[in-house]
Amino acid sequence: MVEVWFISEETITCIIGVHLLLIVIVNLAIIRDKSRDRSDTKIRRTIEDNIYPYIYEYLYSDSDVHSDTVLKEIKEQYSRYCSTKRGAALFLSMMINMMQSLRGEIYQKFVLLYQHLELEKSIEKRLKSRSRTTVLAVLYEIGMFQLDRYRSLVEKLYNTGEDEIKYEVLQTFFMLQGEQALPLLYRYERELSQWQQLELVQTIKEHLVKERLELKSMFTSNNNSLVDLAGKLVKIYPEYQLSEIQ
Amino acid sequence: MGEFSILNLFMAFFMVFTICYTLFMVIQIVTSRRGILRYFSSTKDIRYKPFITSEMAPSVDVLMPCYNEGKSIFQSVRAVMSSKYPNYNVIIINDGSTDNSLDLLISSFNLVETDMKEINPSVYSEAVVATYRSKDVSLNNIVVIDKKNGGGKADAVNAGIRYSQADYLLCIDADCILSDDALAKMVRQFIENKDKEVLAVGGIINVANHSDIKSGKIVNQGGAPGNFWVRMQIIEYFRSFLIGRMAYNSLDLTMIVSGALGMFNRKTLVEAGAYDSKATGEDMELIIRLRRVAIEKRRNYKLGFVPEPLCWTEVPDSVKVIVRQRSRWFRGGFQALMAHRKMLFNPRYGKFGMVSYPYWILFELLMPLIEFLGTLFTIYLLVTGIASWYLVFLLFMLVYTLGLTINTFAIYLQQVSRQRKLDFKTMVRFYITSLLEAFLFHPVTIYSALLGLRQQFSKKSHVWGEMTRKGF
Repeated sequence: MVEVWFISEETITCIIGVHLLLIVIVNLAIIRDKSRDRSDTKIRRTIEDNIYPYIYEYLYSDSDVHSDTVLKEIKEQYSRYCSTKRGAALFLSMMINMMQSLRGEIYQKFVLLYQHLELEKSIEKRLKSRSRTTVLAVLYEIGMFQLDRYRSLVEKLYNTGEDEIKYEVLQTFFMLQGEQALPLLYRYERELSQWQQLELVQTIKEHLVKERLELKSMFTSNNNSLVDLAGKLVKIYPEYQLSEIQ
Repeated sequence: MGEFSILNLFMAFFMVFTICYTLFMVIQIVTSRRGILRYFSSTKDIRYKPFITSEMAPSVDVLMPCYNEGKSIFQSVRAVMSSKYPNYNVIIINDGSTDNSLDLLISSFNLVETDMKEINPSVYSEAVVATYRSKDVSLNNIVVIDKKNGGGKADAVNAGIRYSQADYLLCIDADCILSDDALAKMVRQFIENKDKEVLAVGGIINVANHSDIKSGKIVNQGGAPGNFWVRMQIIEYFRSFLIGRMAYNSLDLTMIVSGALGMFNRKTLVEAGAYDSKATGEDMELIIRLRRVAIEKRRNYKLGFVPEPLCWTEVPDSVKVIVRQRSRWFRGGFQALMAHRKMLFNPRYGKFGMVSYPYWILFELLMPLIEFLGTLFTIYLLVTGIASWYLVFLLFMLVYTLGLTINTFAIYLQQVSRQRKLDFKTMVRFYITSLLEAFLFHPVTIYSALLGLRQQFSKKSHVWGEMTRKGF
C-alpha cells in the first residue's frame, strides 16, 4: 500500500469510481432527454398526420356548412390526440407557428378555430406564471389571436412587469388595436434595443394606420431610443412632412 | 533528496494540477449547461420574421478569404447566398490562388471586372489586382477581390475589410457551409444589447465530413463517420464549443472567436487595426487585442456567442494533415499569448488578465508540454522502481476516466442543444472513439504541439495553412 502525502491509492480509486458513476448518470440523462425528444416528435407527427389535413380543409373551404363539419372533426381529433398537457402545449406552439404566415381572411378563420378549440382556457393561469418565458409567450398569443378580453390583465402586467414584459405588452397592444398602444408608446420610458426598434417598426407598419401616428411626440421624448425609433419610422413613411415632425 | 521525496513531489504536482483542471472543467460544464439552457429558453419564442423582412436590418458583408479552394468554394458561396437575411454582400478574396478558384468564380457567378472604392484605406493588406462583381441582378451582391498572395488568411481578410462598408463583417473560411439563419442569429447578438458594446460574436462550428449537401445546405449530417480521425474531431468540436467556448463566453473569459466563423462590428474592427497580417493565430490575436483596447479605453463591452450550429466545415481525415493543422494552431496560440503577455496577472485587465490569461497559458498552451514531460518522468519513476506499476496504473486511470467523463458531458451538452441527431448506433461509435482517444488522438495532438513549439523557435515562415480537401 502506497500513501503519498495526502493522497492514497484508495483515494485515487474512489475518484476513479466517481468518474465512472458520473459517466453512468450523464448517460441516463442523455437517454431521458432523447426519449422526451422521441415522444415530442411522435406527438408532432400525429398532429401533422391527423389534424393538419382538417385544418387546411377548414381554412381553405368556401362553404360555411362544410367548414362547420370540418371544425367538429378537428375538435374530435384534437381531444383524441392532444389530451395530455404536453400534447396540448405542442399543438398550441404548432398553431402559433402556422399562424405567423397567415394573413387576411384565412388569418381570421384561424382565430375562430383557436376560439372553437377553447385553447385560451389556460391563458389567465399562464399569464400569472412565474416563468418570464411563459408570460412572454402568452402575451404574444393574446396579440396573435386578438384576445381583447384580457386587455386589463395585460395592462396590469405593464405596470408591474420588468423591461422585457413591458416591451412585449407594447407589442401585444399594437397587435390588439394599434391606436390604443400609442399612448403607451409615447410615454415609454425604458430603453429599446435596436432589435426591438426594428421589430416595433414592422409591427407598427402592420397594425397601425399611419395617419394616427404622431411622430412629433416621439421626437420630443426624453427617451433616446424612442427618438431613434421615430427616425426609423420616418424612413418607412417618407410622406411625413418635415413640418409635421418639427 | 531520497526516492520517496521525488515521488512525493511528483504526486503533489500531479494531484494539484489534476484537481485544478478538474475544478475548472466542473465550472465550465456547469456554466455552459446553464448558458445553453438559458439561451434556448430565451430564444425559443424569438420572432425572426419581422427582422429578416425588414428593409432596415443592418448591413453585413460576408468575407471569405480563399487560397486554392477550387473544390469547395462554389458550395460555400452558394450556402451564403441562401441566407435568410435581407441586407448582405459576399466578398470573396482570392489570395493569389494557383488553382482554378478565380476562373471558377468568374464563370460560376458571371463576374465582370469593375472599379470599387476603397472604404477603409487605413487597413493594411497586399496589393489588390482587380475587383469583380456579378453581372446578374440576382447575384449582384457577390464581389470578388483578386489580390497578390499575402502569405496568409489575415492579409486576405484585411483586403476584404478595405472594401467593406457594411455595419457588420462576418469572416468565414472558404470551406465553410454557412447555415441560412446564421446572419440573423449573429446580428441579433449585436443589436439586442442595450447596455454593452458587442465586440465580436462567434458560434458553433460543426463537422461537415460525410454530410450530404444540396444547394448549399446540409440536408443530412449522417451518423458517425467511418473515419476514426473525423469521428474524434467531432467529439473534440463538441467539447471545444459546447464546454469551452460556451463557458468562456458566459464567464466573460473568451480569448478566441474562431477564424472560421466570427462576426465583428466593422468600425470597431477598423479602429483596432483589423487583423495582424503577420500573426499565425490571427483570430486569437485579434480577440485579445480587441479586448485589450476596450479595457484600456474603459469601454463597457462584451463578446457574444450563439450556441447553435451556424456553420459546417470539413476537418482533416489523415494524421499528416491533422499534425500540420494542429502545429499551426499551437504556434498561433503561442504567438498571440506572447504578443500580449503584459496582460498576464495584470490587475488592470481584470479577470481577463488575472484568470483567463493564466488559464490559457497553463491549460491550453503548456498542457501538452506538461503532459509530455509528465509521461517521461513517469517512465523514469517506473524504470527506477520509485513508483509501482499499480500506482502508475491508478494515476493513468484517473486521467483516463476524467477524459471520458468530460467527453460524456460534451455529448450530453450536444444532446441538450441538439447539434446533431445522435441515434443509439452513432452514440456507441462515439463512445468507442472516446475510449481510444487517449491512445491514438491525444498523442497526435501532443506531438503536434511540440512540433509547433519547435517550428516557433526555428522561425518557420508565415504561410497559408494548407489542408488537403476532398470538397463538398
